[in-house]
Amino acid sequence: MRQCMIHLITFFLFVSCSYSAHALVVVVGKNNPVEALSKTQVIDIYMGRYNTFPNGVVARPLDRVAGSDAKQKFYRLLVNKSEEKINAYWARLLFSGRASPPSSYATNDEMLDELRSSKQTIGYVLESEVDDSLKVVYRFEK
Amino acid sequence: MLHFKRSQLHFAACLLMLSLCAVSDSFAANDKVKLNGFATLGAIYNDSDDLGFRPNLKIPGRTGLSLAPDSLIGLQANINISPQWDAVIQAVYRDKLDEKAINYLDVAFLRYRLNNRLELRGGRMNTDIYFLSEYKSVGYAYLWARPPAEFYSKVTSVSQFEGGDVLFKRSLGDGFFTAKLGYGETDASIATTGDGLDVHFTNMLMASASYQQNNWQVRASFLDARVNDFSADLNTIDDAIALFPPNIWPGGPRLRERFDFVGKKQQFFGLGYRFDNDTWLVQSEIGFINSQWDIERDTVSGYVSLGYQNDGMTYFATVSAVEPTKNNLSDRVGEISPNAPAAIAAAIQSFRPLIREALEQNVANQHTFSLGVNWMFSASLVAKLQLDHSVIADDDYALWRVYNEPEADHTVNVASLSLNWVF
Repeated sequence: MRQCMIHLITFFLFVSCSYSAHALVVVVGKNNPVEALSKTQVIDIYMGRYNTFPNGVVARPLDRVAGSDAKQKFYRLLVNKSEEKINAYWARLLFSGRASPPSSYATNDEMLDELRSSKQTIGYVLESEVDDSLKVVYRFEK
Repeated sequence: MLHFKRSQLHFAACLLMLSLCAVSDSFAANDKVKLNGFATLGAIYNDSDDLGFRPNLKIPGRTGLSLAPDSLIGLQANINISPQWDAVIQAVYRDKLDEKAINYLDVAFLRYRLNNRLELRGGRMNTDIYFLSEYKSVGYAYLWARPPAEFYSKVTSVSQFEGGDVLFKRSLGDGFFTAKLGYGETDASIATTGDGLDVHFTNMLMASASYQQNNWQVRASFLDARVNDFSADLNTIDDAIALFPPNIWPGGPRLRERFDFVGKKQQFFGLGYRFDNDTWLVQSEIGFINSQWDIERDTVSGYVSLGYQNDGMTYFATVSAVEPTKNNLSDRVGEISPNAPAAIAAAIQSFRPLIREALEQNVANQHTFSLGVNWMFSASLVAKLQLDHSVIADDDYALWRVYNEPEADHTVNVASLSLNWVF
């Protein structure tokens, strides 16, 4: 019975850690002075409303690879929109001259390299991808 | 043709556009310039031999099968000069009445971001007075084959301007608020039921406000413009009035004033609502044109569109309508001296049918039912199929190019198929 309980607890811990590792978080480079953002502030930056962080520094949002699970999940969590809707939204903003869409990269590694190397970039990664070079500024509520 | 007295503002805007082209070229070698584009390959079939279909008044009307009205290609350069300064140039190649090279530039402006909430722009810009005003050429970005002509066609003559504007924006509650104020002028080559005409609007004052939350958006807008020049001459009226001195026909100069266009104001008021929850989509706008010029009648126009979205497909239905609100314009010739001989008075009275014809030549009174499907084929390609059934009241064909005078209360069917890319 006791052994059975230990297995059960181990299983739940594993599931919980696994869930956490696959959770999306919004991050900036370690050298970026921004410590935390609200969801509204993340929306403002990623939906082209403002082109700076709250402290006035220019913000350069980065997107994951088009069609990836991470990108689709991020926009569902952020504004509850499909990637198709986000594409149409950005076509409207881009060609009306209001704002340019987040930079996108051919691979996630390229995106992560850019994220780590600039003070102006902001991105979203799996919790498991966060290392010492990145700083979490927003966590989506579970 | 018109010989416009180009104002300093217009001249400065042209210079700015040319210099932005040069700036774009010099920056093209680095990542400060982003190039993007859009294109539509669209075919229409118009079942009327008499009335030429056109998406708006700037485009020649077509009958039968044609690729011309909807097909276009556009290129845009976004030039980041500094964190505060940037520029945007957009050129669109499409079938249109105006073939001046400079007017293939739809947008060319320089922007200064004062802070996160305030932006100033100068150059040539889209007039932000309706939902699609800033991206009406980008078929990928909206639902229908083209914006509903009843609402968009007439206001397209002021769809761009050269001048400046200021944008205020801020987060408000759970949504986002923007307000814009602009001032400038524009030239437009537009068509009536017959040949094309050139019109020059000055003192354009624009204001718009918009509030958007996640699933919905409302907007209100206002435009006030003054007609400064118009390529239709008033020689016939002038010649007729010149035949009769004012002591015989005191009403002549007053009649001339009714038809004169210089300095006459045109005003537009618009309201719009859009809802989109990824399953249902509703969009509606209503607009009022208030005109001091009798030839351009006061009108009310609008549309309601309902869409159902499922698995990349959006099935939609739209009802749109336009009609004049001032229907009882007088065709009286005005005061004739009681001392005028009977034959002279009769000659002056014989102008009434001509006056009536002039007053009726630019009236739009019709409604259209549209059904269609929008298919997001890939992340950068949308295909659209749309069927339009237009019912035109009396002989109020102002939204069409009239090749042959059809019978009254004519109906026209237009089928459209298009592929729309962004790249």
